[in-house]
Amino acid sequence: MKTELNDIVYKDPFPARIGCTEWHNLFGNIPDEFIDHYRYYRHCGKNEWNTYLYPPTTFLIYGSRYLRKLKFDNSLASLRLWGFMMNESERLFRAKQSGMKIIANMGDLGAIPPLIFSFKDTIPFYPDCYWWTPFLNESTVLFEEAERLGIGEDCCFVRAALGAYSKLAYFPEPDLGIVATGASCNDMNSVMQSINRLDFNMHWFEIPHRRDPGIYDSDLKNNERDLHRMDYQPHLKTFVIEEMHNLISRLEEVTGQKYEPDALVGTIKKINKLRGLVYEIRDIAFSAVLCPIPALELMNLEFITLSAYSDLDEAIDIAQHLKDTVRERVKNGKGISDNDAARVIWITPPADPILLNYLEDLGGRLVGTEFVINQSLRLLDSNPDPLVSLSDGLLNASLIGTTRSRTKLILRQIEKYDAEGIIISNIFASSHCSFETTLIKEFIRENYNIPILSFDVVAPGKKIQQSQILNRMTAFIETIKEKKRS
Amino acid sequence: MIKAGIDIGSRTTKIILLKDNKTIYRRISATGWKPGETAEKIYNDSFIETGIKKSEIAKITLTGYGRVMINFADEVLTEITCHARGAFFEDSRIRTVIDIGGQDSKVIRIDPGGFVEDFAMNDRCAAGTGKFLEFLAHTLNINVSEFGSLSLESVSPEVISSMCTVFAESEIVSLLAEGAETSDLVAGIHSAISKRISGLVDSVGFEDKVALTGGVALNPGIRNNLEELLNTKIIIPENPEFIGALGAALS
Amino acid sequence: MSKLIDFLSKLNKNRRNELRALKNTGRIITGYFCHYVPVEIIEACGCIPVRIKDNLNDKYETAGRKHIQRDSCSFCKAALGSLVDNSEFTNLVYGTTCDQLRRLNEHISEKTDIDSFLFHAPRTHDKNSTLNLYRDEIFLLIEKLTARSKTEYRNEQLLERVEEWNKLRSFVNEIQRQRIDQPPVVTGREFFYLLSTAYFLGPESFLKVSDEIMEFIKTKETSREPLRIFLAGSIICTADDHLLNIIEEQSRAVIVGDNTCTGSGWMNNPLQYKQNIFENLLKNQFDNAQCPNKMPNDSLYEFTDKQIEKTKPDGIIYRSLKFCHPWNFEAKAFKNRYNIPFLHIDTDYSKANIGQIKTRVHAFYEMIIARKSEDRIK
Repeated sequence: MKTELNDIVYKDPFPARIGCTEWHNLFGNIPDEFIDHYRYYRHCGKNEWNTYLYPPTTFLIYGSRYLRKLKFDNSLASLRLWGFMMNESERLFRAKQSGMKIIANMGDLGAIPPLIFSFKDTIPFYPDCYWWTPFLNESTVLFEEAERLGIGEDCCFVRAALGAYSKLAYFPEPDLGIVATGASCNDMNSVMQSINRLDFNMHWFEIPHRRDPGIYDSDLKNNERDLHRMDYQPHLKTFVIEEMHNLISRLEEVTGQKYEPDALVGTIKKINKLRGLVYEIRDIAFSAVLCPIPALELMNLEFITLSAYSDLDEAIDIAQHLKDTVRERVKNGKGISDNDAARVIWITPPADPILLNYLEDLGGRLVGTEFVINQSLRLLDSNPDPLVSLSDGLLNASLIGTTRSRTKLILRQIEKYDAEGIIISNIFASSHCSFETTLIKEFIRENYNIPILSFDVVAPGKKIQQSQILNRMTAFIETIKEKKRS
Repeated sequence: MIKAGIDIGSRTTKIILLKDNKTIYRRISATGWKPGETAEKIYNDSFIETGIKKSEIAKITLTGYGRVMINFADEVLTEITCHARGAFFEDSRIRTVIDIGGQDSKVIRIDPGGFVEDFAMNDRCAAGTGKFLEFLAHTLNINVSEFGSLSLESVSPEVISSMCTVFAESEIVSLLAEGAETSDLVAGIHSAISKRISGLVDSVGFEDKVALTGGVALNPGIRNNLEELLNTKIIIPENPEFIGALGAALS
Repeated sequence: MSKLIDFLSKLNKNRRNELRALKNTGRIITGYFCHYVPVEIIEACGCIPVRIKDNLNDKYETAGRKHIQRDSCSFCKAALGSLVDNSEFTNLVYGTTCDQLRRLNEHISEKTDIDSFLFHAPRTHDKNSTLNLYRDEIFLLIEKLTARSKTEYRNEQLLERVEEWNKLRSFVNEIQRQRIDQPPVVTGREFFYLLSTAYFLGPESFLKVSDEIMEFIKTKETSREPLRIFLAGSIICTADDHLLNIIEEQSRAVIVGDNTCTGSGWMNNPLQYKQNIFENLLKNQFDNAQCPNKMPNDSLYEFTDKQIEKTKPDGIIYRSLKFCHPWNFEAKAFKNRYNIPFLHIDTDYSKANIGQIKTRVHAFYEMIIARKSEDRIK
């Protein structure tokens, strides 16, 4: 795919997954003008500090040692995505330095970032994602800090967020932390309770449990766009809107600004643009004969919908670039997966990124995901009252209802993208995995007779256990391929 | 006044006889499958070997995991209380006792009066216990008594990431196949245990002076690692395996 | 052995038989896990409330593992195992104060014939929005229960039930006061069982035997001064009998106070209002419920402060069930807050752990006793 900037052209090489060293060499071919052009916080102008296009080796040197073991897509668009994502920490410090307000917003509250963005010079970020930092940094420092503060191995990896808050090394002190409670995981709540004890400014946002109105949702076969719609009882919307009003008062206090519904309508349009692009990329990728973009990049892309990695405009630009790249590859019949790759849907995001690399290494490819963030994947409805749109978004969250309704999101993808196998990566001691996994398997088997593999993701550095996962995945992909051949 | 203390551990049983608070006799023997019988034998043997009569014993106190199986004691105390007492008796500057036994490990904090202030235990699995060392020494065909000093010869310790003995063994086998030096592997094993122990220490905090007791105290590799991790000098009392029995006898 | 417990045990057995008979006549026995829904409301809907906790044991915990993975709370596993095994209850409702308990709901729905209703119990308590949601949820619950029991809900009946339960609460509170005597006349194990029995039988049946119960208590022989222990942490149920026995073994120690939701946390003070009984009942529950799932959980600590001040324990035993995140991860904060000897035990229902629990508890008692004699010398 060719990317043009003024008159300068950069052509992506033939699609492939490459390592750090190769990217380091390939980076030499990228014209300086591109590095100079791609910036975050563009409204701050062109400074020495707001570029983000770097090869993975740069971030490796800064401490993300795991990158040397990973494989990356070799397109310019993917490099932008990686750089943008890995640069978020620095971006948050710059934001604070430039006088912006930074608001920590839990993953469960994927519908809230548009509200935060609607306040001028205020940006959201997602603190619980620090669960993957120990893997990227090959370091258990954050876990050790969490243990020192009372939360040890019997908690999901999200306890790294407690370590991150305590050390304030990955982000500056947030001006406010918005915490979901109610229909949210016990472990996350305990982590947030411990963070609260460290005297950070917190606001508790209660999410109700989505009690699905009937056992069966409405038939969505005809509405392809709403692959992610879930039904719920109307009185819950009233409650969520009330909670939004409580939050708005707090945000007004913190930012010193008044809430403007029109501004929110504007940011909803932008977020929808981002979500729409992500939807389209996923749809193109999952439908294509050869998968045009690797699983790890697809996960990073999905997570961009949570809080745009704290820069909405640049996120949209990157997503557009990725869409162009993916479309071009499909048009030219190119991709990074084998012809007969096993078509796999992955459930629950793995904290260890290498597992998604393994999928392709072993001859598989992604054709769907349920990464617990449905609340930020779905397009927000347009409604004269934007708070109604947001509350509807929130009530479509993956984990606030029954496992049966969550499984529906998976079943629709199995059908649409012709999946041949399911992988469920559990996180040990997370309160939803232990209850959901057996039910997800049962519900899928009620409808489809396809292989399902589930395992616990292991903590960083556990080489033997990691190789056991690799063994299982190998056997799993082999099973699917054998079935295909016969 | 003569008092007796018997520490019935999972691997070894120890006895101490005190006369006016001075040790006049000590013995150690394998506990075997029948702790009750072992304890009785070691007790009776002490009279044979010292010439003391049973009637001269003012008090007999039992401790250790096998303490609940015996019925001839005057008092039964946990190893926590006994290790604290025994260590404090040997050196009243001691405020933290780290006891790494055959099948469990514990950290005990003592107040200036020698009383237990807080403690933490690991007795759920072999990680951080003598068992881990023994098992892996066996895997590498090295005598347990030489294991510690071999670790000190390492130039570049390997990292052993598993605390499960079964997985650790697999890791070692594959590292050996890759050509790792034995001393580096042994150092890695010691480092893994010490890290685990220091985690246990963190849960109760530590105060100087720190003492290491139990059979593993005789391992210089563990002592070395712990001194580095805790950034302090560690005291090894004389006859560290007998500290529990001593504490029992002192009761 | 406790004569009181033997007596209560017979009452419980009779009541079980009674409930089976009532169920056969078409009465709706409503099981609940968490007391966020006042029992008076369940009764005013024509249903019989029964808290699910007294049929659980380690075997049911193992049975539950067929459906829920091992890294989940023992109580949930045992409850599921028990419900799959027998269907004493025809309807289920429970507060969703904990994520695992609310997810248990779906397993029960899928694996048994029990009709279940997912109820949202509020977590935040400083806003009207959550009080309003709580009220809406209760209305929906009333709709569901009255449809099942084919009766009508009336406020007058609610008032009548509140008055009866107030009598029971006054009686139990009186006994609770005797836990803190020196020496205590009621052990922790006796109190937990008594409270369970009281709720299981209901006010009318239980108060009929109040004189006999008082007689058992008055004529009880108490030992010299046992150690006074405060029990904090996860829900206590029958599967914890061995734990309570270890803690109060040979009357060496007595649990004089606790902050568990099946102990002191279960007891509200009698409601004084006659007007607006529904609103007041709800507000009372909303304001006073003690649970580590309340976010933030300051009120749990305030409640515990008061209990500790009242009961003056020599030590705190903090028991978290394995994988009970709300309690396990607060242990350190509790330890740092109280300047009293503190022991944290993290355990499941398996009897294989008994030796390890004993060692810790005994060492803890030795520590306290030694400290007490040191203080005396000083």
